[in-house]
Parts: sequence; C-alpha cells; structure tokens
Amino acid sequence: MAVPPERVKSPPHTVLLVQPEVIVKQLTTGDLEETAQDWSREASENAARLMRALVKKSSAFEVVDDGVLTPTEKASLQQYSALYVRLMTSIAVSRESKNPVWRNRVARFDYTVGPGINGVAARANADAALFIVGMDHVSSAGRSARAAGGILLGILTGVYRLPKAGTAFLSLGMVDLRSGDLLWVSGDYGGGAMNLRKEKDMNKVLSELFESYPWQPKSADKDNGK
Amino acid sequence: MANRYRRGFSALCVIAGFAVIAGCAQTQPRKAPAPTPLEPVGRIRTPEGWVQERNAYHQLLASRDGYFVQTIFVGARINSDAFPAIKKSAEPGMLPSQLAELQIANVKTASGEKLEVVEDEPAELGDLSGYRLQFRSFDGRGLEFRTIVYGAADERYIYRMSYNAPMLYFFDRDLPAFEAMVKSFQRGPIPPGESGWAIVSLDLIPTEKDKEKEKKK
Repeated sequence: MAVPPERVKSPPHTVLLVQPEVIVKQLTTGDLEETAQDWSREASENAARLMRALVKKSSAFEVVDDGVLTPTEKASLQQYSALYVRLMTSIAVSRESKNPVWRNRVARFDYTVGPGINGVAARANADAALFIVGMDHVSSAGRSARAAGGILLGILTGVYRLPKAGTAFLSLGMVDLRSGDLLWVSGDYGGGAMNLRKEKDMNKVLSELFESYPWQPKSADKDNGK
Repeated sequence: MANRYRRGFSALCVIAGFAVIAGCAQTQPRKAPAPTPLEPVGRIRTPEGWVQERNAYHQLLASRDGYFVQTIFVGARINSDAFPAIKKSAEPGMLPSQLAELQIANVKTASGEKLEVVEDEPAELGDLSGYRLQFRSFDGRGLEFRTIVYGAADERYIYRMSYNAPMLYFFDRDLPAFEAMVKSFQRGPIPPGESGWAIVSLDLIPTEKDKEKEKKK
C-alpha cells in the first residue's frame, strides 16, 4: 500500500534507516511472556543489516545510517516509530473493516506522522525514513497458532494476554521526511513457519515485503548503474 | 508463510478501552448490532471528514485516521447508572466538581489507575454546567496519549463526550475539531427537517448475561 503516484514528486533517493524494533517474546511458566532482550537485539540488528543488503542489491535508494543523530534525536525518532505502529495498525484494521468508508480511507492513503519529524531527522539529510517494526515469540511445543489480531495488539501495546505458539509479524513503512507523510507500508504476519530470530526467515520476509516498494528501479536502470 | 494483512483484526478491545475512559461504556462492545432502536436524548455535529459509527451499545464513535490514532466517543446514561465502575449515581443537584470527582474515580477504577489527571475544570456542555477533564497515559511503546472528557448531568441523564489521541502531532491537530463538536451539543431529539446532526443516544446497559459473556472472552 502506497501513496498514489500523483502525490509523489520524486521517489526518495536517500533514506534514513531508523533503528528497527523487532521484539521477541519468550514464554515463561504460568503462560506469561517476557521480552527476550538478547533475541530482540539480535533480530533487530539482523533486520537492519539484511535490509541494507536488500536495498543495495535493488539500488532503489541509498541508505543513511542513524549514527549521525544525537541520542536525543534517536529517542525522538523512536517516538515516531511508536506513532508509525499506530498508523500501520489502523491501516491494517481499516483494510479488513466491514465498513466501506474505512476501506476507502485506506485507498486515499493520506496518512501522516506530521512535519515535526523533519526537525528530528534533519541532521541525516535524507529524503525519507524507513521504519521496521515487528514481533515474534518463542513458543512451547504443541501450542496452537496465535490469532493475527493478538499479534497486532501485542505490537501495539506490548502486552499479551494468552501467549500461544510461534507466530510473528513484521512491517516496513516509509515516511517522507519533509512532510511526515506516510509513503508506503507493507506488513506480514504468519504462522509458526515465520521465525524472525532466524536470519533466513527474516531475509525472506523482508524480501517479500520489499517487493511491494513502489519505486523499484527498472532492471535496465540497475544494469546501467543508475 | 505470508498472510499479508489478510486476517481479520478486531479493534474492539482498544475501542472499549477508550470507552471506559469516557466512563460511558462496558468493558467490551458486543459484536452483533443491537436490534433495539436508538433512544435520542441529544444531538451534535461530528467533525467533517471523520468516519462516524455506532457501536452495539448505541454510543457514537468517530475517528479520522482510525481508532488506534484518535477516537471520539459520545454517549449518555441514566443518572442512576452514571458511574458503573464505582457503582455510583449522578444525583440531581450535584455540583460539576462533584460529578468530576466521581468521573475521575470511575476512570481510575476502570483503567487500573494507569491514567494521570492533568486538568480538572468546569465547562459548559450545551446549556448545562459540567466538567472538562484531561488525562495523560502511555501506550506499551511509551507513546504519550491525552484524553479529554466532558460531562454534564440534568435531572435524568448524564451526557459525556471524550477525545483521545497521541500527544505527538495528532492531539493538537484534531483537538479543535473535537471542541467544535462539543460546542454543537444540544439536548433533545433532532428537530424535524434539520440535517447534519448526529443523534446522541442513551447507552444500552448490558444485561448480567452480557457481562458474563464478556468475562468469558
């Protein structure tokens, strides 16, 4: 899902990769879940590294690292990441709504996080910001698949009620750093077959999601190094 | 592997959370629409361009970008069932400050004390004297939210409307639209021949059976 082409003057050339936030939850006794910090960090770092490689291969845009930002700016950007999660969830819900007005709202695709993000990320000198957010959880054997709604709600609130088997969710979203407008969003939630702690799975999901990026260079452009 | 945005997702829990903040809803709206007709007790003009819906308890919901971003709730209750979480009534002759106190207690009980009151002031709601409260809360990712709740009671009903949005960008952007809606409120049904109004209906009160069902969920 992306902003209609007529509203994009030029595709982003340089994109700030915001520190991905892939949360891995672990089951504890008594059906409670807690965040597995090490696994979360590993999955998030994998996501960043694999995304960079994917973008480099496609030549879709140049990735700018967030290392140029101050800790305060990075913290502010994480707030925008949380806001992005809200928008992304709203879009996912609206798409599935029985109310056609909500579905039409998605088709219009005029979502924004506001122009304030421009000031936060100005030092990166990028055209857009790319958010990667996700959630996975380690399951005990034999548990049934978690409902998709539960996964999304978990992403949103960080709280789970009834932990179930290993299911996961990952979303990519791009925001224009001049206007704050959401340019593109893509999300995937799967059953136990998707394990974001595995590099191979992460790469596969990222590749699938990135396929819907609307400004992929044509193969001739790539061949000519454009 | 891929189930890309294909599976349905219920927003009911989140919507219900905001309804509890407003103090005019049950813990979970029922999924099936209630067959009973609305009981109009007032009218308002909802913000232009917002999606407007009614839940199974006859409360009016409105949002521009989706209920995970911003939500307006409008409802009314009979005074004897005004504050269900603390099982208190709105008594005739109560001062707005007394109503506000009960409203805060009701919200805190329903939300598990996770909300901080940052404003508590008198306000007009139509031709009634009432209260305007502002609460602060945070979501699971540390994003700050603000909720405004207006309320006022007459001899029969308590009328309430609330607005909830993230402080980052959305709260200030959409607050004027909510305040304009609040200013438009009038008691009584929509006069014949007038258009552009949305009905403020009495909330449907859940039966004990409904409550049991919600508990099981």
